[in-house]
Amino acid sequence: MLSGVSVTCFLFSYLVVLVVEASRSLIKIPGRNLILIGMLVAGLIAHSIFLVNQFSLEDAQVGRPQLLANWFQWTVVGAWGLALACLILTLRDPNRSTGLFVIPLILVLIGVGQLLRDSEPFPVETTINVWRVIHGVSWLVGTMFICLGMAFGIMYLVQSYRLKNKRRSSEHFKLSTLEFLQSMNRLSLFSSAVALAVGLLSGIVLNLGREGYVSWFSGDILITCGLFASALTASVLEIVSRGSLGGRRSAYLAIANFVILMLVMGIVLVSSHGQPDRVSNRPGLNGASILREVTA
Amino acid sequence: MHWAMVGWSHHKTPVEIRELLAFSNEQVLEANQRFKDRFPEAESVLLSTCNRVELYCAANEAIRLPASEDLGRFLADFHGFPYGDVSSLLTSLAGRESIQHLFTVASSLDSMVIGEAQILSQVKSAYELACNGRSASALMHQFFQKAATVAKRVANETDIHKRRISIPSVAVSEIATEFFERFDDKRILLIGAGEMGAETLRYLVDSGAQTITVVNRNAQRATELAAVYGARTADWDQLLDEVTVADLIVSTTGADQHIVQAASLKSARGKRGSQAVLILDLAVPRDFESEVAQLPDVYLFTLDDLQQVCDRNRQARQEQWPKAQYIVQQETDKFLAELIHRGSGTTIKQLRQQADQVKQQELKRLQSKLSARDIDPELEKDIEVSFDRLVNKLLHPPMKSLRENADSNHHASLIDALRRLFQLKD
Repeated sequence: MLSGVSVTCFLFSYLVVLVVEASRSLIKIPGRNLILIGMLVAGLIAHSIFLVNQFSLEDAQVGRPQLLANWFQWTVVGAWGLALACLILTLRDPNRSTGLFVIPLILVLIGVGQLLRDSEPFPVETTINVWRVIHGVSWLVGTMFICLGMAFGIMYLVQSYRLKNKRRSSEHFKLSTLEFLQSMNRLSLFSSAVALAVGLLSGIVLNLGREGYVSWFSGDILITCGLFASALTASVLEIVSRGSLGGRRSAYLAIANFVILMLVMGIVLVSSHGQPDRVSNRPGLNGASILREVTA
Repeated sequence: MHWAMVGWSHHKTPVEIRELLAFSNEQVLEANQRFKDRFPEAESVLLSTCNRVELYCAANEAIRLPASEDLGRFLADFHGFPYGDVSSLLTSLAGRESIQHLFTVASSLDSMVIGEAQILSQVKSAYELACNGRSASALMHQFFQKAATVAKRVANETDIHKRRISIPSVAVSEIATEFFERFDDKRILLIGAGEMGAETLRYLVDSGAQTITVVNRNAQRATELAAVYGARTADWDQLLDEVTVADLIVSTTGADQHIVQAASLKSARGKRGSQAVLILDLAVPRDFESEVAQLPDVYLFTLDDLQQVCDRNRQARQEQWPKAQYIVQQETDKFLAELIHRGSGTTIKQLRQQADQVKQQELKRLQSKLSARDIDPELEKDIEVSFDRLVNKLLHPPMKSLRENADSNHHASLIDALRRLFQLKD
């Protein structure tokens, strides 16, 4: 299906969106909003076609297509989710400069994906494949919400700073209301915590099934737990305070989550997490038998 | 068709005199009737607002249009006001100028506050009153219909109406909307029950606000205002508690010192863990200590801040003025061209009918003479064709001149000359 569609196609569309957004204060472009929405839709269509093509590729190990088979696919799907969110937010109000904050995150994810294009695919073990997909998808969703939380958090802080200093929105640079940004921040915090919880649990099952034990004190698992703990703490704080923490503190929490996510991603990507060469002689729980019971 | 306008407006006439010359709706109806009795061959519309009293007149012929002095005197006499005292303040326009003036007024370009929205409905209302009093007919109908169209075009093609310029409207539509998506779930606190507070409250209620608390030193006044907007009241000594739980505070008391100190607010918010709050301090002197703005998640806007926004918006409207005025000029030209076209069409039709009538008379006379000589019917047909050609050739030069001068200033005088030379009657 349209096999000529490459990363460059949608990357270019997103870059154009970013440039058009960034040029609001510099030049007046007639039909700017139409261009923004048009380029976002075009980028998403190309992005979707690219993903369909990717998922149609047969995995050499199993002889059939695999979803989220490697880090490259994982990051490109994450970027797709963010692009979809950006389109929805832009359609909601094209005059708000949402793309200016979300598109850079999309570009970063695509960039990271490109760097990892030649990395080893994830191992395929039929018995635990369901848990692997749950684990991968949960972390993907969690990552997307953390990225969105980061974008909303920064937008909140910028908007808050402007209003504190009596600098109102202009035609060139308009942000959503503080209330909307705060509610999106809260939604991102809660959603990321839930997704990360599912990701963590499925990861535990995955490890038990694959290796028979969980290396709780290995660096990547520790820091992964740290990320979940951070998202959970932020969510609990929000729930307990019933939103009275103040929008700024919620924004700081969302940004802190993103920073921890970046650390985790960095460690996970340079470590052997998810790769097939992890053979350990360490004693642990007999996870394989537990998993067999769970999945029977 | 001829047009004229006389009147007094905020440009030259002080408000004290405008008040004396203003007409209520009942007075407008009566004045329209009196006008019809006194000037039966002219049409009129009387527009009376707080910024202007203007009488628009139209007649098919210049001679039937009352003189501007008569019109001015008519307005002043209605109120028993000595015309001599206000004659120097009278604005008197005729022809194109009067047409363009109505279009400018209806588009809110002549208002004291440029871009204000009420004037168009006032213009429409004045026209309806004139129609009811039968002082307005076909001429005024096309004139005022066009004025409404022009006003809509100005509103659609410029930003002249977009920006608010009153403090309460700016406070709600431009400041509060930067904070809140909706108002129906927000706790709104009004401190003070003055005019500015009530006006702001009206805008908030229009925007959907439902949970409103009014706190005022004078509990009676608070209760009255709360009743109007379905709000509740709270005692003055509960002020700090109410401030702590509110999402949006509008403060407009006449207190001569701050009523909320930063330290007490900080302490109260600290105990309750309050959310972000927007404070619109519209009082002079200010009700909230300026240090309140330094508290986290507290956003304080004072009257000066809002006034700056109003000034910027007013400036932005002024910048739209040339574009709007260009539209008015364009539409005035178009309207005049339409009138001329309509006027010349009637004249040409009359001229042709008259020529045809003469032709038929002469042809009939000739045919009766020729019939006695038993002439060839073919020849009879040739004679009739010759008569037609003769008429067409005679009429061709004046018609050509009319067409060629359709857009020039001479067109009306050409029509007039044509009507006089050929003695065309209405």
